[in-house]
Amino acid sequence: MRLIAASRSTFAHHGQALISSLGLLWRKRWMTFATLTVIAIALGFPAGLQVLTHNAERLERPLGITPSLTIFLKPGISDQMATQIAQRIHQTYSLPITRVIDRRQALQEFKKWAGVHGMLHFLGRHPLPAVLVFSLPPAQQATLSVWSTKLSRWAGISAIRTDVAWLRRLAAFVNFLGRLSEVLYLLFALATCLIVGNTIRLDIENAHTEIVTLKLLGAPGSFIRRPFLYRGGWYGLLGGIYGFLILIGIFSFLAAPLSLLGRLYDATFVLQWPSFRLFFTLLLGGGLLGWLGAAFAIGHELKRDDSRF
Amino acid sequence: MRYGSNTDALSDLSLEINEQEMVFVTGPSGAGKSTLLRLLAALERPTRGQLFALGLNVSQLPSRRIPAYRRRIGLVFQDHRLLLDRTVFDNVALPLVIAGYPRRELTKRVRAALQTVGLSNRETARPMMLSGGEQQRVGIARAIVARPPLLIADEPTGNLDPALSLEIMQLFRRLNEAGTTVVIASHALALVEKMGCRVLRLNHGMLEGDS
Repeated sequence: MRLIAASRSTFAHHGQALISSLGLLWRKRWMTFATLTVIAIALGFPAGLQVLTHNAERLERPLGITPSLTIFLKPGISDQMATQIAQRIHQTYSLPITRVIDRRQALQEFKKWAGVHGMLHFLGRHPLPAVLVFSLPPAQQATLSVWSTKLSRWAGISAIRTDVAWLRRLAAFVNFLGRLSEVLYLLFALATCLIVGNTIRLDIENAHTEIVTLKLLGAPGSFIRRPFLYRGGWYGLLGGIYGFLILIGIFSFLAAPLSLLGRLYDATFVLQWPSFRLFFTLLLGGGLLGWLGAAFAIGHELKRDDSRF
Repeated sequence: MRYGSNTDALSDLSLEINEQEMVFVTGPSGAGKSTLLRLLAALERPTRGQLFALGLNVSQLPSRRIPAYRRRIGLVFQDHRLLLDRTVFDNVALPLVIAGYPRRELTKRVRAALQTVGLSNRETARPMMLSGGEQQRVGIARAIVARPPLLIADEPTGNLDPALSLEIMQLFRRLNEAGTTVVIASHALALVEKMGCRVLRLNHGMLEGDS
């Protein structure tokens, strides 16, 4: 509310209130810094969770990878029978055959694992069954549980494994994260409103003498409210920018382990950083929430003030 | 005007103050001097009766129109009510900022007001650096800077020694001579008599004398 410039037009007074409220935040910069940090965390936390969710959503639909069905046959099944079983499954359930791993291949693949060679020698005989690998088109994924139970009763089939399960778990988890970030957005938006409201309420209390004097001099409510509204807006807006910067900082720190984690699920995974859209969302959302918080506090405080006259 | 349920702060009061008149309101503490001034400044509303000022029925003025009415009145307080974190210039400029004057006009008027009260050289001082009399003169400068047709002062010399009090009263006299209606509440009877203006004597909320 410092007097930097005054003008006949309301527009100019808005401009003046806009700049002078920023100046006031600067004069009380340590307090402002503390308040902004709280707002930044409140806005940045759900935003960060949202970015993580976006990243996880991309894993859910890994490019170029279809989930597969792996069928382990009983150990006694010959390679020729294995091929026949694969054909039958292909015909019955119209699943595209990806691979038939016969017993010899299975053994070779198994031997690649370090340290198992000695163990095989110890067992003395070939322990591994033939393995059939099918890819799972989306249509079959939906009814997977129904027909896989039937399939498991077929003669010669020992066990059925599918990676659809982890994809589903991931989808459920991502869905959960998405919901969680929505709930947190709501909660932290409310928190931001209240933090700004409370700060503004303290500012109003500190400016009590000034407000009373202004009223005595005939200042209308809008004139008294304006600087506090702008101050609230600044708190939210700067808090939003600050929150985004914190988010970028945290992401820089976590980029390497997150990328690694992503690539373990999907080799083509590229970490998605907080976007410009998120930046503007935080900036404008923060500003709006700050303004609302301030408006709430002012309405409350000025009404209380009026009763003293 | 009534406070609580039984006591009327002012009752059966009927008076008229002419334009460009200078009037003193006197009486012992609790006589209703301040109440009369507060009613006039629309700081209070009468429970009964009517009050007209500056061509308006102040007693029935809607709340939203009170700020605009108050901008047409200059208020001077016993405790001067200056903002201590502002310079003298900024304090005096306040009514003009509220009214939205452009910077150049504002500066011109603030300087003129400060000159009127004889504080041209204290523009950049803070109120705490000034003497009691100077602080009160800043308060008066602020009250007259927007050139209001009506000036209301509640015990403007309450905290000042007799010499300074006379100086302040003479300042009000000069403003009155320049065309402003001035209403001053004061219990400094000797000083009031010395001014030779119309005096309204209140006691127990009633008008005891009008001379």
